[in-house]
Amino acid sequence: MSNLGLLRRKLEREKNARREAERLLEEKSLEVYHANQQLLELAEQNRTIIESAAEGIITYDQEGAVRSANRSALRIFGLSLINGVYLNELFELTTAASYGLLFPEESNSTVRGGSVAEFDGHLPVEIKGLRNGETFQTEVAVGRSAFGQVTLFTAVVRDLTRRKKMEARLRQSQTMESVGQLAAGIAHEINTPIQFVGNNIHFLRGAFDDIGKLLDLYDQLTSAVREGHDPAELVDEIDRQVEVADLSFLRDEFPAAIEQSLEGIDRVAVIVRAMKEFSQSPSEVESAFDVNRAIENAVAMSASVFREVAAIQTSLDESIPTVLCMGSSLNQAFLNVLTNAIEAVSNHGEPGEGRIVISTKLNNVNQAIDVCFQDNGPGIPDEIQHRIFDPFFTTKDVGQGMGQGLSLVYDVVVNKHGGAVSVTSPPLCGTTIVLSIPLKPAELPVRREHADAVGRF
Amino acid sequence: MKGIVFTELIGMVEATLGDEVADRVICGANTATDGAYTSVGTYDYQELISLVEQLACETGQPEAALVQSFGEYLFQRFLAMFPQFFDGVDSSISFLPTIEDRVHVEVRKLYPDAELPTFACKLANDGTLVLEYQSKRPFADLAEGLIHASVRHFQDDVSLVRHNLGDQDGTQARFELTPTLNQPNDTVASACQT
Repeated sequence: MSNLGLLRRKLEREKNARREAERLLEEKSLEVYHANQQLLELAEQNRTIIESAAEGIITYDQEGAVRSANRSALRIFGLSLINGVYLNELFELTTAASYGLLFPEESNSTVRGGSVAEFDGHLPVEIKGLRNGETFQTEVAVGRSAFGQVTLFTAVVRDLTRRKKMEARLRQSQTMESVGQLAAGIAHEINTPIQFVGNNIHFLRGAFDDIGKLLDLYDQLTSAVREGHDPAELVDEIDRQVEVADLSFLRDEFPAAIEQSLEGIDRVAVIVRAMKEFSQSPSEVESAFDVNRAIENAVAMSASVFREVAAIQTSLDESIPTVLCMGSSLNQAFLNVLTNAIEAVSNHGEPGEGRIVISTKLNNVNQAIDVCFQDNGPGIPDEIQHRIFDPFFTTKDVGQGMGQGLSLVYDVVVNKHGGAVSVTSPPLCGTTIVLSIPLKPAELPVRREHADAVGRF
Repeated sequence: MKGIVFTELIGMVEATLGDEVADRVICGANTATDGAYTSVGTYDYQELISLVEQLACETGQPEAALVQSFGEYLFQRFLAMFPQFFDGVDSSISFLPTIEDRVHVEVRKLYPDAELPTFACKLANDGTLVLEYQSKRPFADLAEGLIHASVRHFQDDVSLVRHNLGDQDGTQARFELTPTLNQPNDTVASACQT
């Protein structure tokens, strides 16, 4: 075999190999081009999705500096440029705790190196946002991503301004609905004392006519004695008039009539005060709130409803302090739980056998006031216990109830005040609902799922 | 099968037996590509078998021994071409488990469609590394050569035992590397069973 032939064959193989390598290079280049095109399209698609999202989406680093934001975020915060802005310019972060909510710890839901993970670790929190120097309510869900040494946070921000207004209107309408439902009973509650106060006043007026005649005779007697006339005839006349007026009876009845009238006026005053306090416009502003008085108001408001079916006993701890909270919302919550208890006992057992005990006490462990509603109704079946706080869940017939009562209770106590609601309802042994109102409301109550509360029953 | 295996085989033949033998092996194998391989290409593994068969004819050595020798040669080439894979590794028992998680990961970055064998490793309580080779292609001998060269490179005191698995056709095998204190490497070599 000649070396030349061998070298020619080797050269030919090398040429073919080079051509193959070039072909592969072109093929790979084309693949890379198409892959790049796909990536660009995907990036554009993702950018469009993020830009068109109704919620604001911002990413920020561990220093709290915003790295990127979509159009909705700019709109929500009223800014034209947001990159480089720090979180404390976007949110009212007055404490380390509130700041920490925007920097969740590493968890199973942390997304690493672009891999997909479940976004289930961090529940949304409500934080006050800042827009044009004013605060507004937002709901923020934060995710954490790790790219090597770099950690980024992604916040999905929802402007709750409109929803808060709607909720306020809904609460007001629910309050008015409650007042409306109780109006006939309340009218009766007012009418009864007004009637006996009126009767007493009629009695006093009639009695005063007789006493007036006596007073006239006493005047005549005084004049006769002063002028030296014989008073015997006048004294006889006075004796007769005393008998006619039944003065001893009047002496006994006058104080009673006056006392009863004052009591009646007090009863009316209590009901009117309860209605006034109950019907005040709902407000997100927290103010000092007397839980015991709110319970008394709720009982006064619903007295006409329960009187025929149940006895309500209150055991209110007079030593509990006032709490800082949204009073009108809690008024509504108390009335809703009480109304539910009344309906439970009215549908169970004979009229008058129903018993409802409402107690308040200071819970030193949880630093809360526990308001306990206990009834001897039929209880809540196991299979629906986990649903009783769901909005629109009701066991009533169509048209009898919207299923908003306990849902509102949960929203007010847990979501708005960071408190807790627990229900105990052994079969056929009545129901006990305890509302725990924190003495100092959580600064930023974390929105929890209904199931969490039910799970603790 | 990736082209680098073909180009390295021909390179080994040229380096050890000369260009003429390499040319005869290529011509005798009569492959579809006629020996025009590029390391970045992908070729039918049957062509490699044809080349080895021709090499066996040329040398008179068993094909299995030739493939094992090629495996040892290939390890040295990898050592020269990809030193980063060996950084911070001081024994075959610590290196071999990185093939799957480190080496193959890098290979797939360049060749996403590469059909690579799997090297499932398990370290027993007595320090024995059990490595299970599995491939669509019958190159357990090549794997053995690579492992053998690894043991030699790191100068490990281990015994290497091979158990053919499955259809006994070279597509599946279990290798056991057991530390043998104060045992010279020659003993390691003699401990290899096929």
